[in-house]
Amino acid sequence: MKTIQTNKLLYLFITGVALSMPVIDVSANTIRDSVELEPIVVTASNSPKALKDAPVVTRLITHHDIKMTDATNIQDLLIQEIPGLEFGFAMSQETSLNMSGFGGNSVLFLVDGERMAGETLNNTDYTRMNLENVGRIEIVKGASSALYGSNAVGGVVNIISRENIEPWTANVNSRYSDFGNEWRHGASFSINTNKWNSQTSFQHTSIDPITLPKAHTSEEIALELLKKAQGLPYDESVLNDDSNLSRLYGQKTYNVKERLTFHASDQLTFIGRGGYFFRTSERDTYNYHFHGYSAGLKGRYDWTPDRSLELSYAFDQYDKANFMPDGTRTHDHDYNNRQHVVHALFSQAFGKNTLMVGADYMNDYLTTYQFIDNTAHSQNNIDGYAQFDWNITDRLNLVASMRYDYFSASRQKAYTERFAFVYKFPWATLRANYASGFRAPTLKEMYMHFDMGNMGYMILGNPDLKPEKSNNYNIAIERTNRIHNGGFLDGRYNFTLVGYCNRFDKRITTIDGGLYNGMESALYWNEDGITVWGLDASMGHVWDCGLSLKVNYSWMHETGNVVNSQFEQPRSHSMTWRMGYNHRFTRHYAIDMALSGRHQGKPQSGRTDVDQGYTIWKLMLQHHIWKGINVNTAIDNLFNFKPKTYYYSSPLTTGTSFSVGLSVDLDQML
Amino acid sequence: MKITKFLAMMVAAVTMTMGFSSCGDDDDDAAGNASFAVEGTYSGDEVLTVMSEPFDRTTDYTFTKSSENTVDLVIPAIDAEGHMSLPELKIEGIVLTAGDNVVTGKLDSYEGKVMVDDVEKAYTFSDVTVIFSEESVSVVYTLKYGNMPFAFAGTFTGTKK
Repeated sequence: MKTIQTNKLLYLFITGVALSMPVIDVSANTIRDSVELEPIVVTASNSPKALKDAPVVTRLITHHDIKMTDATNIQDLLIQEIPGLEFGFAMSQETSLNMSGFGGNSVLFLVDGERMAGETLNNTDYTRMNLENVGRIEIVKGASSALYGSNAVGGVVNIISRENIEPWTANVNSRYSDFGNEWRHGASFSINTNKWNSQTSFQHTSIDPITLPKAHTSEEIALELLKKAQGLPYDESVLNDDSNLSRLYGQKTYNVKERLTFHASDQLTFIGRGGYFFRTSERDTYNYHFHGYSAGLKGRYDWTPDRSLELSYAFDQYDKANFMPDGTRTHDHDYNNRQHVVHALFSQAFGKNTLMVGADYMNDYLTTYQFIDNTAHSQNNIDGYAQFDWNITDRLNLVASMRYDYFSASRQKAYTERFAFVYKFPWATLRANYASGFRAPTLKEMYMHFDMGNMGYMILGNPDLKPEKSNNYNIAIERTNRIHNGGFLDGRYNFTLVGYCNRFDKRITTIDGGLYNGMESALYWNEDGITVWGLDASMGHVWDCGLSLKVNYSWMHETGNVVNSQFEQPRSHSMTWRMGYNHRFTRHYAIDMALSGRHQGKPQSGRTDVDQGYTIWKLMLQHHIWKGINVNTAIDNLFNFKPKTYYYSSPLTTGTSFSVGLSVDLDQML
Repeated sequence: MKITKFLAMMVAAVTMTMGFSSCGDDDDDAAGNASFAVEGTYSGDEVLTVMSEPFDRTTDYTFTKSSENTVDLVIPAIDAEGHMSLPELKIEGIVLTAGDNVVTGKLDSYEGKVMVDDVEKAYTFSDVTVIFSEESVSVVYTLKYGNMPFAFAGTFTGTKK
């Protein structure tokens, strides 16, 4: 009987989370720190589980972590939190992700469990993923295609919105940084009744162009060139200046989101959402404009505490356009990507075990200047999957997932699976996981027919491409405990050690395509495999006195055909850390302080003209003043690190920068 | 360098961007009639570098006087056997300053347009520096052409014809 009641309580709790599965209930600082393992996570098993019970190691970035990084978007946040992850530059200063060797199209980014349309040079628009009203972020490294399908080759990053439970909340905030005179303004409002819950958020950012200091001025270079041409003694080092970034583009973003939840009855819940995004990038020659539109409707019905059905429809669109300096649209850079997704998920519990069966239909439509005559292509993706969460004993848990995907345009199919074991020793938790991943060829990769820059160099798609495949094996040990012996170390600690191997095959890249209509060409092609070995270690300690410490370290090594791929770029060693302290001095004043840093080791590219690693520190002070007034001050790049040269993997800094922000919770003032 | 290698490098996801630095025009008057002295056609070597890969050719750069202390520069079209083409491009208003045995030209940025196959293409030169000494010239600039997703770092050294 007691077990049944416990199960019911657990069900009620989990149902509460599941109803808003990608959404969590977070009142102020409910989740203090991910060192505590009580938070619920959803990404590892596509269902709510306590972090300590997740079948795969899940890195959780809490709402408090987000606040203490002072980050504007997902890019700012992840570089401070995740070792082995870098955002560099691709061509035309577009952002390029590298996570342990995997590029932007091999890491699946989700917002409340939903995909986003659009990409530029294989990366989604990370500025769309602003952190206004975000509750937490879950990161699962390694393949997860058995649950999430294509693109979950190297990992999944799931950004999960907050859902306030107070009757109403209202927050306005503003922040200024002297790095590029960057401004960030945000506002969020929520209303909560028995039946309705509405969350609205808005964010606007702007940053000026930033001139990066070069090692040598163009005048110095011209002078040495002249000496060389005249046969005079000259300084060769001046002519070998390989800086290839000299000015960062300015940009503005606007992002508005609405999420409306209606509890029709105890069994039936509907969630509607909509969002609009606009970004303008002020570039040389042309200005780029980007638009994003998203909408969705989800319904969930719970027949019984053990059985539920979820149906949803999601829409996402991403557009790009170019404008001349006089404001005229060029129409030679038009891009439009639309995705419609219909999703069904049935869940049935059998005692402590749960079966989940799901299916999706996605229509992907793309028209782009990179296709012949701006024509359009589309394809349908149909999938079905099942997962069984089997609690064999109180200590042993097996989660097995299988999935089948079919893509109409390429007529490709993919079978993926995952087997995750969790065994809880009294002193530690052991996890062993095998997962496969895949990435289907995109419409761009299949149909591109693009004269690059109109310069007579063709990039050609290949409709015969095969999906990329990955096999991920990892084993992890985790220990969490509390020390309470009256000494200095009193508090809670956690450490996790993960060893992994990723075997990545059929990666899609470009090779020399020979002559095409008399022009040189590059052709999309499946290349040989790469194996990545790695070790991730993290430890955290939260002292009872208010101190906290978190350290994350990552090591990786690749073998195989890494030439001319992103696997040339990562660094073997990288680390992030944060030391925190919080204390309430009076009823009306408390402080949160964080001294954080990140270290990126020597680049594997072998370049010697660039920094052989760097370390950047950041000091953040958050002052909690009277009735919901918070003042944030931060010093970034505390020790004034300046890159030797600016290239595609340089940190975005010109030295120490300062920021100050004000956040006001109006509901606490009134 | 082989053009294939050069072009293949364009595909690699590595960036080049344009830059500019401030130009000092305090000594413009000192240029005197510098533009007259330096105008003419210079023959020599041009190197366009993208992603650390150079593409070179022998060509002529022509400077014409546009005022007493400014010159315009015409860079000839590139047509590498039809595999890569750039039209003839012009930079107007390079400001000259006379110094000891040299004349230095600077221009922060120049935005131009050119018709290619009845399609108008915009281009931007930035951080343009020219140094004339005796009968020699060296030129350094950054070029962004049309929708090219990268910029060229260009240099030229030549002697007056």
